[in-house]
Amino acid sequence: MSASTSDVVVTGLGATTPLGGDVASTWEALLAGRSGVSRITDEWVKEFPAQLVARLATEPSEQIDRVRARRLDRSQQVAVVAAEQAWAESGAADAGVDPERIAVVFGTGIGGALTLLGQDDVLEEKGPKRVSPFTIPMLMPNGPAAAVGLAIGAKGGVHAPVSACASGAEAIRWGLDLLRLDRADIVLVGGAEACVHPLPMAGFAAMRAMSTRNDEPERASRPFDKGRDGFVLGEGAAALVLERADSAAARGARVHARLAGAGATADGYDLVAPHPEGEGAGRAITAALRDAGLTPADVGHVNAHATSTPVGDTAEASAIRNSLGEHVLVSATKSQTGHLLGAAGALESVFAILALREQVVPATANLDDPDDDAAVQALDIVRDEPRKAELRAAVNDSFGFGGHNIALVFTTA
Amino acid sequence: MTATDSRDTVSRTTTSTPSGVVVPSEREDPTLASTQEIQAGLGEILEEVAGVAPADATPEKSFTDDLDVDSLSMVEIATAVEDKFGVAIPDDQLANIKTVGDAISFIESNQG
Repeated sequence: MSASTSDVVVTGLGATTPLGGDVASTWEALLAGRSGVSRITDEWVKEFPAQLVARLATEPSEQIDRVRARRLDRSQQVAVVAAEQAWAESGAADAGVDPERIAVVFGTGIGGALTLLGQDDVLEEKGPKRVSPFTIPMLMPNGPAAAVGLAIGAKGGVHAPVSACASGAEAIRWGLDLLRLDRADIVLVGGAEACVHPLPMAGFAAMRAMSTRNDEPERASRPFDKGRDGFVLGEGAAALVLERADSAAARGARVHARLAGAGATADGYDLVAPHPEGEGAGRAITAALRDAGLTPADVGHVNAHATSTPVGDTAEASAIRNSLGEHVLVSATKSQTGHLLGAAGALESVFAILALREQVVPATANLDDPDDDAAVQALDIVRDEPRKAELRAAVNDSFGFGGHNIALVFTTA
Repeated sequence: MTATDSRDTVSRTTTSTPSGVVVPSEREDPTLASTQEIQAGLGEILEEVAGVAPADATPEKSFTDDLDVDSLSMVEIATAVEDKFGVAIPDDQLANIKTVGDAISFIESNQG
């Protein structure tokens, strides 16, 4: 793990999540074991089998001004909130970086669903002339990336990977590539999602992908547990500032961790079902390790994708066991945050980075009775309370409908 | 009274002005709004849509150059004007409305 000029480091973090309106409050709530999940009380939910949601802890309206917010979809609002936090923390705005060397890669799984569906209501009820002129820029899936690019004045390219629940992690991988290829000097990356609305809820429920443990909201998201019955939809965003190690050092930036490598694969198996042994997921982890020049023994922690679906969690457990072995400490933080879809990979990368920085592994909530699956039984899944550990490298893996697999390897600063 | 003359007298009266200021589009026989009522109503729209302080929404101000109102916001303003004053602004006319005063004049001469 020797330093070279092509090393990429993380110099800023931002987030707005069901656990907190920023990184510090989110991390504190995570370690304290708090849940961001609650039961929806709106009238529309009555006929829904799955009635749980992990809503933002802090409304974006408390963080960005009204006039700015009204022309941004909620997915763009959370993107901007997280991105501006990360950007401010990095100090990059004062570093005199040429705007043409600043890039943005920001993903989303669903895009501006609330705008799309809300304006469809307007169309049906009031006609085409009443549809907002901001409809298209608010619903387009590159909307969060574009809003972030505008917010920080990035002129070196603004990109928007769309790979369902791998989008946030894929954005981080693209950012790494841009820096390695010298396409930019600083890249703000992340993911955003805000699609709590009857239609996405109904669609996921129709796939039987969501937990129906409506009477126990805080116990509903239970990755790797025998009693798991689906994910809980969450909303929020997370952002990271990436730059090359040499330029970060030259400007005296605080380095949270190194982004040492990334791997991307596709299952080539089924549109939505994971390969039963997580074959593509395991290949992504192996590819990321190779990219980072590390071996499985170097990796001490995995922040797992683990959404709490019956088939997904066991497939991932096999992938982790097959690619890394049984020594890694595994956390499934969606047990507290819910599933932030296109923001998940970014948020969980923030958690992996903080675990490295603080040398503590978050616990997996609600893991009362681990699944009988051999890989789940074999893995050391941290539960009950966070565990202190000497960590040199941590992996975040993220998977998306479509068979997308992304693995990222972070190492200590 | 010209539009310019009226600006100081209406800037703080928008909330307390009687119902005549707001003329719902569905109203069958709208009461014609006075110049100052139009300016006040337009000010409310500009504040809602673009965050323009009411005191800044004076007739000589250019939407794009002075008030930072972009073309998409102008479309929203036109829709809101139709709701408030019952005056539709065709696209070819909207392009000619450069200042707050232009908008007031258009509404004034096309209402009723």
